[in-house]
Amino acid sequence: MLEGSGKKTKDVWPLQLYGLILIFAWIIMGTSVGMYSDTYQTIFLSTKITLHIAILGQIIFFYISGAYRTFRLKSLRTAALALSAVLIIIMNSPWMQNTWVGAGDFSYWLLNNPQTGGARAVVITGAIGAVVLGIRILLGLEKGPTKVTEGG
Amino acid sequence: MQIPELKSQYVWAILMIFCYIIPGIMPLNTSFPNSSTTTNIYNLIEALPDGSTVVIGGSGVFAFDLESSSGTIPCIQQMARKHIKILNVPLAVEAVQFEKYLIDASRIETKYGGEYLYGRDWIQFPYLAGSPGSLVAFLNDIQKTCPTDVYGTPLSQLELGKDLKDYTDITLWICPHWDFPTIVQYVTGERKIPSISFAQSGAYAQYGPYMTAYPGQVFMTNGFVGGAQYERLNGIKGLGHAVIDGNQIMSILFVAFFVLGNITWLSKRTGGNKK
Repeated sequence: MLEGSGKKTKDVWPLQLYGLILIFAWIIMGTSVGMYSDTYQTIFLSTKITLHIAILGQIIFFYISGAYRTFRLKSLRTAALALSAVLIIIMNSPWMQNTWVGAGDFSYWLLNNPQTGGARAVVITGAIGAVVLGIRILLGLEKGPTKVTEGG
Repeated sequence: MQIPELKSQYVWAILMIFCYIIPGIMPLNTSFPNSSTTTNIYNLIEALPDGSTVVIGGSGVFAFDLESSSGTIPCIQQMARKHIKILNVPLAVEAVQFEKYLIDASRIETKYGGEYLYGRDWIQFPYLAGSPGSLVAFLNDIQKTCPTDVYGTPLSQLELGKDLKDYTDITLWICPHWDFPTIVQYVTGERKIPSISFAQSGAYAQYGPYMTAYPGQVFMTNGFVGGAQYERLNGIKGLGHAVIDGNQIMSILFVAFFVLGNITWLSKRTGGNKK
């Protein structure tokens, strides 16, 4: 908190002071009224969680901005990725499910078959990769993270 | 003719106006379809014998998850009408606060005009560290795994807690948290207790196939839309209904910006060739 801002300490001291006051206020409140009391719960909901939800609400902006900037049909691969995303979005949207009764079932079929197949392939591949990595480390064939960062 | 790239500010402004400001000021009350799965969940709760014991619990959560709350809150209200006993079993740190929030937001306690009394109708257990081991221990012996509630009161002093033994006392498990597979594996798979997840849409996309693996035993609702469907079955308008307008507009804008982005890219490409 004190060093992570990347600014000079003299510039950020009000934020540091604010953070310190918050930390001590929450510690005092948690130990005096209890973490599961109505008071603590109400204050937690009104402050931290409200901010948390506001930050989560911003995801939609990145989501749409991403659809505009990155989902461009430049090649077969990007087209497959972009069209899959668009298909899932459309089939899950209430207006499409109102228009076409089978949209919900089709969306669930997509999740249940192609999506599950792909997801399982990723999990199995990752697991095999982890085992192979473990064997390579045991045999001394793999550079550890420290050696990589040291450039050795 | 080349179409210029839209600045991020314009994308954000359009979203702010159409997804937040317009639905916030003038709710459009757009319609949404029913789901047979959501209806099945509602009917399952209705079919539970009065006075049954249901667990709300799991792990993988940040406190106050509104997406899963949209379905869980009307479900708790429905259970309260049937005097179903509720055990909150948190398997993650913030799950304690989330589960307590769900009871508070459901307004079923006497302090909010309801009929539920703590200790008699519902209990909040403390955080059980070490899931799934702690979950299995809880299912096998509730008294030994959790001798007290979250406030330190011995279970023997709580009307609802004193007679609890093991998983045979549990009729249904509701998981409003992310880690639904653990519940499916140990609660439904091994002990044949039906389980319901009022899932975030992301969790639904990942774990939806469990419904096919355990037909008639595992049920999931789909995000805010699923929550809104449950609210409608329960005759209330809550968090789910509040989000439906924004959800509808967002899905249309997603497609519109996808198309606009590709037209922009194509126009640049065509313009570049001419040059």
